[in-house]
Amino acid sequence: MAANCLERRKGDNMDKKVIIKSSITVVLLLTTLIVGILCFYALKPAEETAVLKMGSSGSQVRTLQTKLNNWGYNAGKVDGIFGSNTREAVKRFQRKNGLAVDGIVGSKTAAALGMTLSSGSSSNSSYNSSDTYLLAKCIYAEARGEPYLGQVAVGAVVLNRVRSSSFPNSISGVIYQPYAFTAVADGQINLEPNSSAYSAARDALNGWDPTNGCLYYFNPATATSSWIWSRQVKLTIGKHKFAI
Amino acid sequence: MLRDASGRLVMTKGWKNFFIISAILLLIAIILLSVFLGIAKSNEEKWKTNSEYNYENAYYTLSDSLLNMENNLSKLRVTRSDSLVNEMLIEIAMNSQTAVANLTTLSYGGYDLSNAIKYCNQVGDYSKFLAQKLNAGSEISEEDRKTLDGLYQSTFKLGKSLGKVKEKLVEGGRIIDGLNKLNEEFIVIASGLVDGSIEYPSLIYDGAFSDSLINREVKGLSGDDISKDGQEDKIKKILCDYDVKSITFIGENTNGFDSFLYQANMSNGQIASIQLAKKGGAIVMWDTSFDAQEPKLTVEEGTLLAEQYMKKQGYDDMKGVYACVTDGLLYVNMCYTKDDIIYYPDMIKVKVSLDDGKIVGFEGLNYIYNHTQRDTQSPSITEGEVTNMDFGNMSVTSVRLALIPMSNGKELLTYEVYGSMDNINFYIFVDAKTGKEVRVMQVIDSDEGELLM
Repeated sequence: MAANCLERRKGDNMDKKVIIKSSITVVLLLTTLIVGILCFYALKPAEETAVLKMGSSGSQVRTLQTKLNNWGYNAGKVDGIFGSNTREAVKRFQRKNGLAVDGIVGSKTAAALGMTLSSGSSSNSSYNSSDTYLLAKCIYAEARGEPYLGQVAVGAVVLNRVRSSSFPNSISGVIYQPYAFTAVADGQINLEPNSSAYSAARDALNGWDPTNGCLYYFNPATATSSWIWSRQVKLTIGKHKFAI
Repeated sequence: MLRDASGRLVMTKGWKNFFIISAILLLIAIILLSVFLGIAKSNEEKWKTNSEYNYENAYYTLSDSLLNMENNLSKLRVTRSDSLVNEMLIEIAMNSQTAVANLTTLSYGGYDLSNAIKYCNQVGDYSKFLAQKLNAGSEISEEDRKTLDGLYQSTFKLGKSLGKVKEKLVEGGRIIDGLNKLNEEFIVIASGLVDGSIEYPSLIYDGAFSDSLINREVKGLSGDDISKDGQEDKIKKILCDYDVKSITFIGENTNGFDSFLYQANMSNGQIASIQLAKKGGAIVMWDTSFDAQEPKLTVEEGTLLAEQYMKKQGYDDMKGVYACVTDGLLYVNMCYTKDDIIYYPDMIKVKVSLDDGKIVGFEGLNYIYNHTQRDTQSPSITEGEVTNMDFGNMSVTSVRLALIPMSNGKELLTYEVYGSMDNINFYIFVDAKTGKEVRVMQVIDSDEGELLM
């Protein structure tokens, strides 16, 4: 009996340890789960706030880089692309000015830099530059591996469609037309365009059209629609055949 | 856990607590999960409803605009007063734009409505063309009236087929389901309108969306055909700012007119693409990728370089008329200029790097299509008369003669009046014969664009 008692006490001790461990595990697991769910919901409706961060590009980044360079923070080449050099320069600027050092230009850092950030949807950004951005995104998503001329040509096809009666009459209408571009359907359109896609978009908007009015293009290696083969091919650039 | 004397499992107090705590935590987890799933589900429902409302909105607006088009086309059949006819034509053009925008939205539902889009675009464009014709003092011909009559019949049919989608809605279904079941009929009708199986007059006229533009005349090419080989010297001359290492022929473009495509590799690693017209070997365009740099040259210096480049390439009377800078890159619009008249149809665009002054691109498609020997024209009104015209509160900066392309494919001699109001720059083109304003343009992205004098 005494032995049994002793055994039970010992067992109780061991049990307690196991219980505490198990409880902690369960609690931790649940907390992780809850935090995970909360994060998911908190992050999902990410507002399109105007910030410049790693991967951003455009004229605002250029302004940022110029300012940083002028003040001796060495943001590297002024290329309109927020890369690691720019991020480090932003961090140096933030450290020196007593801002939160995160390498992201939000409203506070922008104010300290004397910049006003505009998000794409705000009315003060000009119609023209948002078109360039959208076209650059489409070019980057559709033709980033192609020669530069092929990128200009893809931009030109979008603009030729805007001018054609058979397609919607705006750049966004053409790009987001269902089934028109595979890169829109699979979400690649949301990638940030690089500087080459930007300059191709600008060239296309300024009238450069290597296709001389083509309305379609396809990659013969990956084209799934048999219909596309019935179009009259006018020229080939890189992997794309351009047709009317 | 232990066994009692008889060997049965006995639950100790600790284990009991553990199970209770676990059960409670599990319960909480399940409740939380179901709450979150519920929120997700309701969000999805909300999203679905919203998109359904979007489609419904597009559908009803489309129906309205088609009905307006149909009504105006119908009224046109009995109206003879020019001012009323003009009003109705403009109504049709406006409603066709609305119809196109909403057809585009509806096509996000996954249906190919491109034929209906084409139809509405063409009807609107044709109406605009007729309205312009009326404004210019011409009359609507019997032929035009027949065409309008045909368009009325077709629009009526299109509207009727759309009405069937509405019947589905009234039965309580979603518009997407309605479109799903009936879009085939709708599309068949819309396709029939375009491919001619449903009677619909051919729209051969001089508007932007006219089918007659497909075979555009090439006025600016002359000389013998060049061969695709042996163009190295010509290409090196085009790329005179670069040290060209190799030139490769990469293909032909047979769209519009025949041209050859070449790729040139430069010693600095840059790649340029050059397009030469087969007939006569004129430069159609050339382009090279450009990495933005800090600009060192001014717009004036860059423009001068562009004009010098044009002379070097054998274009003698080209003058810079407009320049805009984006990202250290200068785009100069250059036009053929003779006897102080700027020929806007004969435009060539040149890209200049403001970093090192190199020419980085050339675009001459418009010049190739339009440049030709024209009859000399002289204005009937004087520059002074134009300067004293009433332009609201716009302050006039400059007045000069310019030949501009009109939307009907013709060219018109005008006075180009450049001025600004509230820091917004405008171009107003005044017919040099009649003194009527024929076109007003506003410089939209004026941040770095400027007129060159």
